[in-house]
Amino acid sequence: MSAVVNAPVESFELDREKAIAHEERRFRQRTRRYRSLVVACRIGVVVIALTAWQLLSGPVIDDFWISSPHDIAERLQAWVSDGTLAHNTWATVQAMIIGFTVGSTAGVVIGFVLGRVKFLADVFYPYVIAVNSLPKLALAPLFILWFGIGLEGKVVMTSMVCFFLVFYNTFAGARDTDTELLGVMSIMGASRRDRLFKLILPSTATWIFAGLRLAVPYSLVGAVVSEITASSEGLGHLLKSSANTFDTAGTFAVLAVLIAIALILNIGVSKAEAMSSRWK
Amino acid sequence: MTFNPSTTTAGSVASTPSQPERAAADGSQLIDSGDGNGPGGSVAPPFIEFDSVGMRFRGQGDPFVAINHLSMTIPRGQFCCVVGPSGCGKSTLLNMVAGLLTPSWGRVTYDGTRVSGANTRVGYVTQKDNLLPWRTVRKNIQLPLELRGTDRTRMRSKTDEIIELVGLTGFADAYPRQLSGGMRKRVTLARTLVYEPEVILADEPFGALDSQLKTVLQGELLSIWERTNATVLFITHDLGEAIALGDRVLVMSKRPSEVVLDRNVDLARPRDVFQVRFEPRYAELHEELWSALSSQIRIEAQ
Repeated sequence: MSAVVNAPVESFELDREKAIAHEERRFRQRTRRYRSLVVACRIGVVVIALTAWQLLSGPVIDDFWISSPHDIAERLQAWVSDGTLAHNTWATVQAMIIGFTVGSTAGVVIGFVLGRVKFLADVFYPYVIAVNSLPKLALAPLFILWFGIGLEGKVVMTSMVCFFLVFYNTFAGARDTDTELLGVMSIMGASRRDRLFKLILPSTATWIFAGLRLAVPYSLVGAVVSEITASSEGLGHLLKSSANTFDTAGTFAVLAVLIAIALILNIGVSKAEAMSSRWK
Repeated sequence: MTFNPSTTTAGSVASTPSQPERAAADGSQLIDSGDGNGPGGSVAPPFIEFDSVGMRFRGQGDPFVAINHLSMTIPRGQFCCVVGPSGCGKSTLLNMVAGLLTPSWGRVTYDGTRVSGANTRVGYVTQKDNLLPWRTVRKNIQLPLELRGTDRTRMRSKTDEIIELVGLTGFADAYPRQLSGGMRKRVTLARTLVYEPEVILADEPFGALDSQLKTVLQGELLSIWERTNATVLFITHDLGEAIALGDRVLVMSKRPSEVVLDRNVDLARPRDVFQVRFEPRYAELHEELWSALSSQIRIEAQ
């Protein structure tokens, strides 16, 4: 009796499993196919653009203005082999890293303190707004005057740009901490220290991260603009000296490197963010 | 103000005794079991006491008086429900017992001492769920234990126990964002119950839930209360809920608020929160309380 009853149930179970496995396989296949199509099209767009550029340059548009992918690649190769690229890239990246670190740290610390101490915020906030409303890149000549055309001037410029982006976010985040939640934590037995480490800092962290994410690409802007204004080395310097000597191939080559750096930074930031905020 | 909670426990009763046993157990400490309205032979010592308390708020606009002159006492072990029109300062009462607000005048005493600063002897279930979004359900629930320095093994077992009690097994490692509103509410409740506070302050804890889930959680809260003998100060806008759960229901007036009706709920315990609604006495209480409450709401609506 039970065998008779069980048989169809078992076969139903089996059919169901099979159907699910089949469904899963088809779904994965479809997703994979779609992804491949997207990647192929992306590559296609680049290939078409570069080919068009290569073909138009010369016969249609004077290559004095737009150079050509071939010349740019050749130039990059030459710079790689004689060490120009590595030297100048490092000069820029170094200024970026130091400037980003110094500026962001200052932004976090000052933003946090002003965000948590109302009195200080009431006193200093108008000044922060005043300085921030100044276009900061316009300060580059002043910083170069003060700190010279070496690393220091670039670092000061870069940290200035990063500072404000991180400051504003940290300030907003530290202020945003839920007062009711602070009260509930106190009732649960939280000391001042507990409230800081278990509530205020973690809740501000998301905001700080948003500021840092903005600051990363801007640190590249700060360093390069500073180099364009005046410097003896770096990608900005290379860009300016190429343009000044009517070397379009060199100019485009630097732009290509800057795009590459920006893309790498972007990927890095997204990865770091995905790791730090799984709960979102 | 006097009251006498005929079914209130002062001593601790470990199990959940039936009504007569419970009353007998209480008889030694608590006094009269009359009709629940007049003062008895003696009076239970106040555990939470509001003494001519007033609260004046300075908001965005003109300052206003939320509470003018409020006096009442709540004895240990009572399940006291507060109903009233919205904005009448019910939450303010809880905040004063919790020590998050200091009354503008008058005083709030807790177990004989004046409340000043955060009162760590109470547990507060706020209206909002107030969970830490970066912590999992388990980590959220164990937070108060962590803050109180409970050792790891005990923390683990207590947390597991309470997670099961509120029916969140399987969601221990989920983040609040991944839960439904009802589940988050249960996490909040669990987070308060896990450290077994002697007083539970609850501010419309089940307000936003659907009625089935509400009934289930009300039942759970009642059975936990019956087991732990906590004192509960429970704010609700649902009169039925107040009668089904409470030993006593206070009806507050509109602002500046005062107690317009203080009613002992003489329904047998332990109660079945679903069945109790069909008792004739329930309907009588509902009618009496509703007439007091609706007059306040009508004044407000005009």
